[in-house]
Amino acid sequence: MNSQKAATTTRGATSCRASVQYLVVTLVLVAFGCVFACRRGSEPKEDPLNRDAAGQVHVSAVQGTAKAVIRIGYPGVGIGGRPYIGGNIAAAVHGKRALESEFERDGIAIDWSLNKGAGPAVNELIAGRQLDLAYLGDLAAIIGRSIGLDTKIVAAGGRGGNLYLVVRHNSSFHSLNDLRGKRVVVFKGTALQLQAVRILEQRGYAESDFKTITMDQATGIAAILGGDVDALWAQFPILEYVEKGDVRVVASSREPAPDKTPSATAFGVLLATGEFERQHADWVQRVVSVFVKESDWGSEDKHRDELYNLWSRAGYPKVVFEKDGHDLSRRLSPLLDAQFIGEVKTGADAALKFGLIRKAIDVPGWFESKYIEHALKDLKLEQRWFGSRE
Amino acid sequence: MTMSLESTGGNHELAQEGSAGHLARVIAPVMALDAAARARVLALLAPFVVLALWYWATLRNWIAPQLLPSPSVVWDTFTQMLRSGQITANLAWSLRRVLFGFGIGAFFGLVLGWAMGLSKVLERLLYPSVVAIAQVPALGFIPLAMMFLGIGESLKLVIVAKAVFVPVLIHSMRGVGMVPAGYWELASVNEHRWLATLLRVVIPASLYQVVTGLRLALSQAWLALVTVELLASSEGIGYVMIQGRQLNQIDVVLVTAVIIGVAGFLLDAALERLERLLPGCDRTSRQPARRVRLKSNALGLGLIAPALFCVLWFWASRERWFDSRFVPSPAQFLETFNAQLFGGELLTDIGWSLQRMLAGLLIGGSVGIIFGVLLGRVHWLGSALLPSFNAFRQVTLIAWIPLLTLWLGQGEEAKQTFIALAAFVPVGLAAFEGTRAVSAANKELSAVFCVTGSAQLRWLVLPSALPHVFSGLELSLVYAWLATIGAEYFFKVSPGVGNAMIDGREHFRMDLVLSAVVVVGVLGFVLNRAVLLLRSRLLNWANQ
Repeated sequence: MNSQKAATTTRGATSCRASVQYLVVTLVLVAFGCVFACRRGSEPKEDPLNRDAAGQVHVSAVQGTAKAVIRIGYPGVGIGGRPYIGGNIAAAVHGKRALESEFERDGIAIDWSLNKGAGPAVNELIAGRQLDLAYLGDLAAIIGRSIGLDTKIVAAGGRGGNLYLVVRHNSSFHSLNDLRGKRVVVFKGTALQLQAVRILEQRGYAESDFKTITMDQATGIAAILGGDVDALWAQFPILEYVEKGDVRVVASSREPAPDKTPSATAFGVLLATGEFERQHADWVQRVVSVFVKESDWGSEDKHRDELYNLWSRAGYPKVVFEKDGHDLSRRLSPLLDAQFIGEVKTGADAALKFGLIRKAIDVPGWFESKYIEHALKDLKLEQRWFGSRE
Repeated sequence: MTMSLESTGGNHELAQEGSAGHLARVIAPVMALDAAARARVLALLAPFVVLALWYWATLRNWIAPQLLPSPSVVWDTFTQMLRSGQITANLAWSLRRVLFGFGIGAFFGLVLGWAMGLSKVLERLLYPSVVAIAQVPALGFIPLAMMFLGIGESLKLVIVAKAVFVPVLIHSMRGVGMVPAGYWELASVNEHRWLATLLRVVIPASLYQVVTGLRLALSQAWLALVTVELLASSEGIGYVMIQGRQLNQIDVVLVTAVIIGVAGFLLDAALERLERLLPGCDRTSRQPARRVRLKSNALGLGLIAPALFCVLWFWASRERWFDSRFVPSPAQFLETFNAQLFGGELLTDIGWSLQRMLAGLLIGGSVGIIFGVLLGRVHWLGSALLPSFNAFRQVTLIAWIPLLTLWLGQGEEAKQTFIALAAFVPVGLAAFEGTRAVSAANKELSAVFCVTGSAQLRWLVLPSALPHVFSGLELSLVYAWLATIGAEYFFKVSPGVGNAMIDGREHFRMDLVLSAVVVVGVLGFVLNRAVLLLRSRLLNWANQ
């Protein structure tokens, strides 16, 4: 490079021309390669959904803009990125392709977006106006509301979700007290965190008593099994390893707090973005009706086995659902009844108190219950679930 | 990671050189002062315009506050975080980690680097292995290290030390190689003992290269630390950022991004100050670092170290020194690797990752070249944008991830943009340097022959910029590859080598993780060779 100062000879110029041509040719080739690669790549758009061992393509990707599409977000993926989900009503709707068959006749595609980044990622997508509907756990939904995302709760997405604090089977930790100052994993910004801090508070602890590390659940499970961390807050998937004897439960939402009050449980909501709800009220109605229909199917005890089979396609053995202890008709109730509204209020208050949101949210104005009421009437399911009415 | 951000160092000089070139055409010194003042005003203009636009956009609600909060909100968050001690406490954690890891990595890098510089045998024995290790970016190393070390301080120290070790080693080795022959003769004439030679000749003469290596290492250490804090920590500035992201508090993310950038900048500036204090260093003779070429006969010796390692590995697994879940046996590893590569998803993963990276590289590289040439050619634009560009460079790559997901979602677009951003910076800087590096003699010559406009660009600017552009390209390849792995970690799950690593970790399959790490290293190496080959083909005239 130093010699180039002296190199303004004709020879330099000719070889320079040659090299410029060379560069141009290379760039064109690379460009071709990339265009080719991108074209090839655009075929399986949401790729993880196409490469699963099960082989089936269960998610409709959007091709072109002419076709109408409903984009629905979900906070999670199956084990190892499987394109299935488990454990709630959204999982049943998704697994049975219920929305797809409902909208197929109108040529409307359903674009499920399953996010490993869970609730926070779904909120990011809502903020970027890339979703029309979303199923969300309590904390993420509350955070979204508090940062000003325009959403409406159109149906309850289940309630009574359990949470477990586990340690390795051979560890010396036997109580919350033993874990003070230790490394505890919780997936921050998701329903797991809110439930964890509420359970801790009921037992006289705070999140800051531990060294908390945020990890998604699958990574967290790998971390606890590998001995990278001391304890883990996890939902039902961890029960597989409890059953195997790899980990041991130290605290859970299934046992009452020391003062005999029931432990905090988690809930989920089905959200519609304000814009979508205003523009396509009919579609929202149909979506809610599908959710209600599937909730009705799932709440039936005789479908329990089938439901668990569906859920276990996400990679969980059926035993985790059996051990999680489900009262299905309570758990899958889509009602926006007074009890559910009360839970949302409690959750929102707790989130504010623990500094997970910085602004209080307006809870009553968040609900749009006309869809669920219409669906119940339409499907003659008004008496299906025992909801407390206002 | 072997390659250096040489350009980082040259930055200040470049700015001066650039304005000096400008000034040379301005005859009167009074006018010169005006031009300098003008440059300063122009430099302030860009950030001011950005800030004003930002403020205006949020004021008029062009962008949702969930995507970009107004400057005043961000400022409030900053002061509040400062008052609560959140910033200082976590920054202290991060700095402590960086300094400890830096100390460990630099110590071993220096010792081994000097040793390899002094002993040709040692160099031939170890250098190929070092190059191989260097190809695996810190990010690719994290899942592997996590499986061995768990999540604690040791993980952070090892990751930082690894990031520091390689550049320090290579620069100190090179430094010894650059000691003029006369010095050695002098030492032998004076009958210096071994230690005296080391202390009086080797260390002082290679000091300049060493400091360059240290400076480069520090910036990489900072990047590596923030990354590992994002993935696994319960304190530190990276942790504050990820917490902000998890709670969708974009203002917190913005504040931490700026803090990470400023801290990185200050760390770099401190070492630069140190560099200036060094006596007897001819700063003008700084040359772009050339890599030590591997000779074929050197490769034979170089295979000894990996071979020894394999024997040890084999022995260890046979004697069951380790839990086979943590350390798979060579046979097990080979079987997995083979199955994954030829029957499994690894090949698909490689295809996806490469495609992603090339697309990002192409976009970022071409934008970078255009940007750099424009900045270099249009002087007022250069003085207006260069300082802002330098500040922009300091914002660690990782800091862009939460912002990009908010703005572009989680899909391929976001990933490619992230990679393009990574590739853009080195190429842009190099293209700028190259454009400004046209020698005065050649400029005069072209003026005499009335070569102007596009002809000048083609016959004068482009040829002299090309070597620089290629240095930048070489570097941006490393960054793009790192960013590809990072994108696969932090954005939506999709096939790719980085994802294969995470999968392996989730399934507790060390052999899978190891296969992916090997693939990342080998691909990095091959890509690098490809650029070097292209460069030597294209630029053979420049080396004559």
